[in-house]
Amino acid sequence: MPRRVIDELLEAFPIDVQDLYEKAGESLPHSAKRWWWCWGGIAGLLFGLQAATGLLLAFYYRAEPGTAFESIRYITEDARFGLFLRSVHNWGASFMVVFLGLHMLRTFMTASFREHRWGTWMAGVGLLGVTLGLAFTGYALVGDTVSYWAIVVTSNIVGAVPLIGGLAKQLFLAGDSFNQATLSRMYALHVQIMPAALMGVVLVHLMFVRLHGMHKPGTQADLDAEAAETAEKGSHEFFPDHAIAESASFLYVALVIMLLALAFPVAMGLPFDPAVTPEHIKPEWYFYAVFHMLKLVPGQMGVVVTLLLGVALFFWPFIDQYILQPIDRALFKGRLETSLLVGMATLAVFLIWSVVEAY
Amino acid sequence: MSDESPARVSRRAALRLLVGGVAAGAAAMAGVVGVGFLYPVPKVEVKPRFICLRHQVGDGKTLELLDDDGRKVMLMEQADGELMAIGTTCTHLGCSVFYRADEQKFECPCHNGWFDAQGNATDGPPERPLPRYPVTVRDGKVFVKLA
Amino acid sequence: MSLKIKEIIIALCSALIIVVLGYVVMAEKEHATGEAKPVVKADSAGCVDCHGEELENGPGRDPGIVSHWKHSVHAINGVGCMDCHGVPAVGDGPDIDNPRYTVSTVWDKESGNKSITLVTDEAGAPVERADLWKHEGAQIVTAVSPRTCAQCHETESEQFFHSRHQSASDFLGSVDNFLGRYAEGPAAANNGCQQCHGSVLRVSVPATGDEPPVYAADTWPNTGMGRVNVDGSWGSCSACHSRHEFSAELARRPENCGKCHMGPDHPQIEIFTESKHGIAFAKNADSMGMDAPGLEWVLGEDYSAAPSCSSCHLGPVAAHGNYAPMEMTHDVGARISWTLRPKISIQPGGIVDESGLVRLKEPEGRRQDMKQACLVCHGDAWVDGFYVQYDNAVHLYNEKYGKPSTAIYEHLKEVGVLDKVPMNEHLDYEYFEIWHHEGRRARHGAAMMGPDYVQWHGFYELTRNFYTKFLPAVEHAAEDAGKGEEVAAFVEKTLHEGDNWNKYHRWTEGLNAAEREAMLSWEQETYGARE
Repeated sequence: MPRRVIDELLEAFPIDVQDLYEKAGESLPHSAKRWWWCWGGIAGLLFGLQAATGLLLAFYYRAEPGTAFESIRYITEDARFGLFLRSVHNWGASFMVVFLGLHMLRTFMTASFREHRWGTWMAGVGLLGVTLGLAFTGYALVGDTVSYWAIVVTSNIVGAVPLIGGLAKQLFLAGDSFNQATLSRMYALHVQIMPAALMGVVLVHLMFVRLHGMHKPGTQADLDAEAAETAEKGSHEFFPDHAIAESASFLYVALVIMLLALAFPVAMGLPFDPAVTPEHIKPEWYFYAVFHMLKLVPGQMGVVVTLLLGVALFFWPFIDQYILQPIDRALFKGRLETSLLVGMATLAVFLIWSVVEAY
Repeated sequence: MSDESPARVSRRAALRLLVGGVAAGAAAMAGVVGVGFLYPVPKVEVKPRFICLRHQVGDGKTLELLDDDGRKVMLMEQADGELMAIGTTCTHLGCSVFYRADEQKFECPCHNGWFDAQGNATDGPPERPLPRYPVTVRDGKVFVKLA
Repeated sequence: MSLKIKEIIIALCSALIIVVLGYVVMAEKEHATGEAKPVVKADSAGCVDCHGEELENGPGRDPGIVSHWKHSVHAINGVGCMDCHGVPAVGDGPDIDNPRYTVSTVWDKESGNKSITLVTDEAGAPVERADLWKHEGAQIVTAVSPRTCAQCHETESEQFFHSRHQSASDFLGSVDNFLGRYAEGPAAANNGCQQCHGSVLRVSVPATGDEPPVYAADTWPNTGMGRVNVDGSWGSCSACHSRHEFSAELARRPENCGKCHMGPDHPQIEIFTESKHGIAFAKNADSMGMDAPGLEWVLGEDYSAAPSCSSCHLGPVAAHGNYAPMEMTHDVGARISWTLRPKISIQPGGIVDESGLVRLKEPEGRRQDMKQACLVCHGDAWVDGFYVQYDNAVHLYNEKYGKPSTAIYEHLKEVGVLDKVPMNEHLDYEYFEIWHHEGRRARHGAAMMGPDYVQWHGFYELTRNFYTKFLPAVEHAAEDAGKGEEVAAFVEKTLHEGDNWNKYHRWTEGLNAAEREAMLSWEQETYGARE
């Protein structure tokens, strides 16, 4: 390119790249150079993958009870590469939930919610909620038997929430029962409201992360090891080192998703018929544990328990700081982390209930 | 060979260029898939299909068929003797409609929707008419285009 | 992990992603425009699943059958297994047309008319056919009869019904029948004669519960042209239109007719192959569009490079000259003036049924129809001249060999030189082959322009056998029976009947130059005069 053009572009876009680099960059501890520290970033990049494939799918999808299924069938059977793109979107959704869970596991294990970082944690729980909401609204749009009954069952759960349940259910369904406007609502939620919310909360989450900086390792020995490594290898910057690491792992995950999409593509179900209730109705796998719990604690009580568990998760940094840590200090003299135990137990129950429900 | 003169590209830069190139290639392929997806697919011409003999429909006898998407279709004789193939999935929320011969109307029991003998929505929540499929009768053989 | 390794990972993953996406692009199914796909209807889906090739637990029972059907015009148009192997419900249409019930076929040889009547029991109710059985929840028949095809192909079935193909199995009482069944043996008749002419289907073990009926092994399998079906109808559409492809193209090909119309007694396929028609066909077959849909392969319009059997004998002929278009017929005798089968050839009269409808035209009408096909490619003089040649050849056979040998043979039987038992003596075979083998070959060769069959396989053998085998054998047999003089006188009388001696047999005594000249000029005059 001629020198004059480059000069003009530089004048028109007066970005100081070096300055930007420094501002956006961040020194990370070498202890963060493990693959399990990439999971959050991968989950975020997977959202990008979902947005890209979802945007393409949105070109053909029609959000009306009569034609939704047909538009999905067109994508799956007729459109060029339609089956592949829909399968990538489907597998990508599961992977996104998985990596969110893994990221949550990592932050929990490293107790990254401590040291005043409850803002980061709460934004993260918000992201979990929005992601699950995206996943749910996503498969509600397909218009097959699973979609219809998922919407109906979820609307009943929403309706069982104390005080605001009735109103919430009406808002959810755009009426008292499944009607012409319900799918449009799911569509607006899935394609516009929730992605926007997710992006907003991601920004909040990342802002908190940057403001606080990474939670540095705990003991003096750890700090010494850190210093030694820095002295030897130099600092571990976000750009390019960690960014490249996250990109590399994301590409790897994307490749795995594509291979799974090829080997195990989605299949067309049956168009929904309100007059027919299938025998065994089950939600998506990530809802199995909750589904099982609602079977054990039925009715409104079950919904209340679920809400309380959600609240507990949201306020976990405080529960940890004001309830569990004092117990640790008093009972175990700091040699045991009750938080960790609670986390392990919850994970175990979640996994066991999921497996039980799968059969 | 030991020095890296400014005129030649360094090995590291070359590697970086290669990596960038391959990554760009992957992005380009993804673009091909994405754009290809958006290009319309040529329409497959669907042939009318042999269903039955003319005398097997009429005088109250109807035939229930399935179209290519699995939706129910009813083949029946109209008042003027002409044959009609009409979808029997309600255009409101997808329940199955029933033909009421005495009133010559289609009724949907789910939300009390009604369609006239031609399938136009008359009462209740349905708005769009029931879909019609082209019927031809050749040499006493009935063909329906069930696309 | 160093930056370099991360970059390599990125490069590797990107490369693999390119491969994967490349595969996706390559593997994209062609969304074909207008390419017809077989339609599997709900009632036939079970059949296709079990019998076809895509069974989940392994290959289907008869994947070939399903594969044939899938490539057929039936499949594309939505005609499935149950449309043919099923039977209409009770009360669906007139009982006599319902393939569920048995009918009785009658052929009045005097008038030539054929008819069917519904078979009823004492109470007057129709009788269900004996091979109806319940298979996987559906009532089916294994051996489909033409009455099922007639449900959709009414015109063709009607035409076929009145043709000699339909009654091909009805030659009881003929010499061939005795020869096959008794002189040779049941297996010879079953595997030989019946496989072309058609067996009389018989259920040996009726269906019970879910078990199929067992067809008698001496009658099934069989796709003989005139097969008598269990429902009482005659004929087999699959004889020409091989199941389950039911292809019009196959029926147009000469090899199809050649299954039966070949061999020492009626070598039509060999004659066709020898003829200029056959040579032209051999060269042009691939470019004649023989796979055109039914009724769309019209001589003179869609093709004219060469004829196949069906072109002249059955197929539609385009309008040309002053002629209106000629429609397709499934009556194979509709355009044939002579019958070349019998001992002495005749031109059978037309057939008119009781209501006055012409079922078969008079010989001139039939010949006109055939000429209409010829005239697409040949001029009037050519065609008319051919028929003079043809008629003369048939006449020559009739007068010189057919009539004398028949008269002599009958006489031998009458006076007791030959016993009443068919096909057990030398002379039985000598005579039989004169009319049934070389006599037919000569006539067929003339009919379809196969000169070698007219001459060396035909008239040469006729001459050799008649004069050097048959007549001497007659003499010896008569002498052995003590009737030598009487028979000799009869032979003399027969050979001298009318002007036959001069015309046909005097050469045996030698001809001088003047006599040869006279014979030749007489022939040349007569060619012009004879019809």
